[in-house]
Amino acid sequence: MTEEQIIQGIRQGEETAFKELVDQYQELVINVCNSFLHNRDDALDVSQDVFIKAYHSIGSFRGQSRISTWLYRIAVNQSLNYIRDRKRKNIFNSLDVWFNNSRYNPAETLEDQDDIATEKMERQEQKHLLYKVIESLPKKQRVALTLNKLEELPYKEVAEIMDITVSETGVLINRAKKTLQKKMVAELKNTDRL
Amino acid sequence: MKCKDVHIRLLDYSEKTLPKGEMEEVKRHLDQCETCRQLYHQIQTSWEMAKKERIPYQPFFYTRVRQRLSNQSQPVRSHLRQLVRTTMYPALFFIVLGLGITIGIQLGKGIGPQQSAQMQDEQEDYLEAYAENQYLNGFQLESLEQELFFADTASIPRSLNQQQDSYE
Repeated sequence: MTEEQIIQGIRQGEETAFKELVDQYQELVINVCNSFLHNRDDALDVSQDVFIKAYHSIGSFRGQSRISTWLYRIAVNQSLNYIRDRKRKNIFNSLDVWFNNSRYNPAETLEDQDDIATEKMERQEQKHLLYKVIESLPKKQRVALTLNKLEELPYKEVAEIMDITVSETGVLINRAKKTLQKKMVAELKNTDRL
Repeated sequence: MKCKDVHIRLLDYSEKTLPKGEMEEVKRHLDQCETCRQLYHQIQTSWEMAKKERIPYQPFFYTRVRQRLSNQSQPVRSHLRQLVRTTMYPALFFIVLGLGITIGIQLGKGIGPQQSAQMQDEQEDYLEAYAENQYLNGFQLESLEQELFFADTASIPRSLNQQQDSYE
């Protein structure tokens, strides 16, 4: 099925066309969501929302860009919305934990995982540190950097997804890289890794 | 090149996207500086790990999406209920509040200015009658209060003195 056939099929309510869309683009959507959310379950959950949103708003797709770009855009927006909602929930969760004498203790959880090799744990920590730093970047820089570096999309496609010019994309990515490296150095120094 | 300058070029260095001259300078610095070398390895490792973290094709993904889609289209009633909850309840609250305020105002309006003036007059008449009659009983003029507050007879108002004389 070509892109056009898929779009026409979904508009006409064909089940096979929608199945084709989901099967063809699920890996792309799930991994974009995962690049932003850094959590497999959340990524799968949000990806489902992305396809549902795509199904409902197929009428507004004008075919000026590729389906992948359109789906990327929806996936980025849905993921950012999810992060925003999660932050709100976290405020209440932290209050809940505070009132319940802090039942959750990350240090204890880590101690319990004796079977995990130290090296693997250190790598995991490094990865989480990187995610933490990426999440602290301004929204546009974060989106541009994630799409370009983690999803390995070219500047042109990032620009299309973000609806900005290619040069703006370049500026955003360069700023993001500089900030990220500075913050990584600071974080690593703080954690006595250097 | 200083450590600070190397730090902001580490990502590009790991991806080999720096200009040739800068690549060589960073490499030279990393060969000499242990701290920057460690930092480079840590950033490189975490970045590579993040890139490798891919979720493979999910065989039952479509079924789940389809299920959610059909779940969403079914509960029209629950949407309606939610709409009622979110809009009707506050509206009802404000209607009741408005009614309460209106009834209060209407009740207040029931006592018009004429009625109010008449009531005030009646009250004043009663006070005057009381003021006139309270001195009929001479015994009241010799009350304890008078002993205490008007011990000095000079300070007793003239009208009271005259009234006392007439009783005597």
